[in-house]
Amino acid sequence: MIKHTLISKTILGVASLLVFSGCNKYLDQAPDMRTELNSPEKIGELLATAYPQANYITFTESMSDNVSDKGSGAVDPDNSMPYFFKDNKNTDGDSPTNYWNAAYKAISAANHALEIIDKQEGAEAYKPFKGEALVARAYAHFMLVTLFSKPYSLQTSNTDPGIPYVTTTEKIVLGHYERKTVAYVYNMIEKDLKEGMPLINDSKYKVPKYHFTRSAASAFAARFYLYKKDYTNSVKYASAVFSNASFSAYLRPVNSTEYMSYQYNELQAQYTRAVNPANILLVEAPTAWGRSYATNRYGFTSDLMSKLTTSVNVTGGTWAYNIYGSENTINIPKFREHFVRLTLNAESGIPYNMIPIFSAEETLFNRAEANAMLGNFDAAIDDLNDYIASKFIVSPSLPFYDESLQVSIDKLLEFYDSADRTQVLINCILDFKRVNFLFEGERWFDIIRHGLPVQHKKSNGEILTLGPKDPQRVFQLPEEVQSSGIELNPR
Amino acid sequence: MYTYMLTAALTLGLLGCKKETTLPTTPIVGLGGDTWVKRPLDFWIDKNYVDPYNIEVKYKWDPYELNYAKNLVPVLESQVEPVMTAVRDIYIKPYEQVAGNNFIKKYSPKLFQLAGSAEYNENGTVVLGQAEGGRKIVLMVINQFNKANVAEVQRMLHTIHHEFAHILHQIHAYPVEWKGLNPDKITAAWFNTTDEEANTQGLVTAYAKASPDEDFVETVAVLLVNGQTYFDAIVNNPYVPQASKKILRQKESIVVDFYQKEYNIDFRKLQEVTKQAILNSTK
Repeated sequence: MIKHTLISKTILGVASLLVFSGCNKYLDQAPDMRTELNSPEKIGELLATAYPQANYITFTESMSDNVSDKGSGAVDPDNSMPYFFKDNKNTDGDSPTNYWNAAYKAISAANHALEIIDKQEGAEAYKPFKGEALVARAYAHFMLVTLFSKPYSLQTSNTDPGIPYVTTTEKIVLGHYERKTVAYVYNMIEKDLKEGMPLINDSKYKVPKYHFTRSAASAFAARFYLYKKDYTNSVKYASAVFSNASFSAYLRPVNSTEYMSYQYNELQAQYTRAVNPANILLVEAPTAWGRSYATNRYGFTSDLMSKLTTSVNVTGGTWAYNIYGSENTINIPKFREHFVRLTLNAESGIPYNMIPIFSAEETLFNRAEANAMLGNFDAAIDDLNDYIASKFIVSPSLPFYDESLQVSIDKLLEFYDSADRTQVLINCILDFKRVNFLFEGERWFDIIRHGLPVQHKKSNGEILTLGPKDPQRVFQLPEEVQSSGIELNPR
Repeated sequence: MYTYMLTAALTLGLLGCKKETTLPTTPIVGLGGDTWVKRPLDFWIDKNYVDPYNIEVKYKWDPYELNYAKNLVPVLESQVEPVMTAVRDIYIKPYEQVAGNNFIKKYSPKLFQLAGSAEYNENGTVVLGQAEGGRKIVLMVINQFNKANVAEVQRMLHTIHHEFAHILHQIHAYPVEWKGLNPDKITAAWFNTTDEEANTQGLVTAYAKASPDEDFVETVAVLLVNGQTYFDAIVNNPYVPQASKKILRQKESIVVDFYQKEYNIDFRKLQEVTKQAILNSTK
């Protein structure tokens, strides 16, 4: 017994000696594993989260005219509320609120990085990351203003409410923010974009397709200036995305023998693969979209299929897409799910999809549209013919491309029965885009920019119309933003 | 953040409900609330399906067994026995004869649900039958069945053999190389192709273009119900290009191998017996 006590006393004594002597150095260490942002590499890693990790496709596609009521199928408010042109009160999942939160989270990551970088006096090594942070901040704000404010207009944007353009990190619980105007937000985006773009250095990225490379920043600028109706700049930046004037080599070769012989899973996997040259920027997002878009009740129907993909189109040929599924599950495989289990043996977890943010096709359409608006009809036609050469076949029984499918301005004027050359080009671009971006939610952006009406049929036969002036075309802000002094959109 | 089940997204609707003062005393129809007296048809079904095979034949109207989003017509009672006799003689008996008594007992779906009309889709196609999870086959267009009409009998039996083949390949998968034979022809707009066009592309029917699974079961159904002579005529059609002929023959041999390897069934003999059964039934 005595021996025992003695030993423990000794140990206690030795132990306290160790603790006190080691005190200084011990407390110099941070008590947790937190990362200190003290190197360009760490800033770079932080910036991997400066992209909105949320999916807008579910609500933009469900609100668009690419969906109809199948009569039965999976019903989820993230899919049904936008279909009925109603606000989705859901705060997580694939709701507008979730996207809003994710976008500001991304902005906050960019702002954190920028605050650290600004303290590093003249450090060259931080420059590329400053560029990425600025462009990523601009992108997140751009998506927010596109979804939650009215589209840019030369007449009304000076008064239309924008969204808070946040350039500092939030250090108090409830900060006060202002929406200001759409024009203000666009000016701020342009400022960040112009400052950030020249600083970007592609060689600093481990997986470039998940970051704003020079190409991706140019593709963003091409879209931004098109939405801003600055067509000259849109063409300029679209042409800077790839080294070639023609985008042929980068478009998804849907009508090639090889592509058409892919099976379902291969098609699904290659579509959002980083090595696919058509993908310019990808963002990973937790979302149920990939697993549910075929079975959602409000989705792509055979009626829409016959209207969009199998009816007569301007080329005289047929779309080469292999469309899968039956009556209630028609789909084109585009999203390969990456399922992250909660624990090693868990059967539950979080599904991720890789969302194609910028693609060669989108940039091509942006350039063609800008050229059409500028009156450069030949340039627009050239782009469209590059596109046609990658997507159309003569017919299902003659499954190959032929030059007779190419379009000319005369062919467009005749098909769309109009004398307005700009208008027929825009019509053709919108028709192609609608099919090209099926299940990708891009159609919505054309609907708001061009003021297209949308009609959705209810199961009782009633037709809901979303007219060009409908306030519901602007998604509602999360209710809780009111506590930061922000006004909701009118309803 | 949210989580999802690995295999299926589960949506749990939690509804705040108001407490009702009284519950209805009358039982709900179909949930133990209905009683009826067995009639000769029910005894016939017991004798021919329930007792020997433990297979239920539901001919009474039950919307929940069918696609509630479509308008369907109930079955004419007088049609049930002729249809189910043909099903027994041209589907169950041949399998019994070739694969042994236990095969059907083990693999056949345990429920035949009948519907008087077909299911009409918006795109102009019709659904003639459906197989679900290996447990249930829905047979439609019962009211038009006429046993003297060979084409009509073949169509009905085509549906059954088609759906049963689904069950067989759902239990044991067919070889993966099948999916690589003509993936470029798969399309949800299969109905824009005629059967003849599909033949030239190496597929037995237009519907075979819907997916590799449908292709497999269509090939099985054509080989069994339309018969080898019909299949040979497709392959030997001068309009069918050489490459497609080769694909069709390859498919034929995969089907024969599949039945042999996975279920130990002599497919050639099954074809022969089925052919004879159709002849006998339509006499």
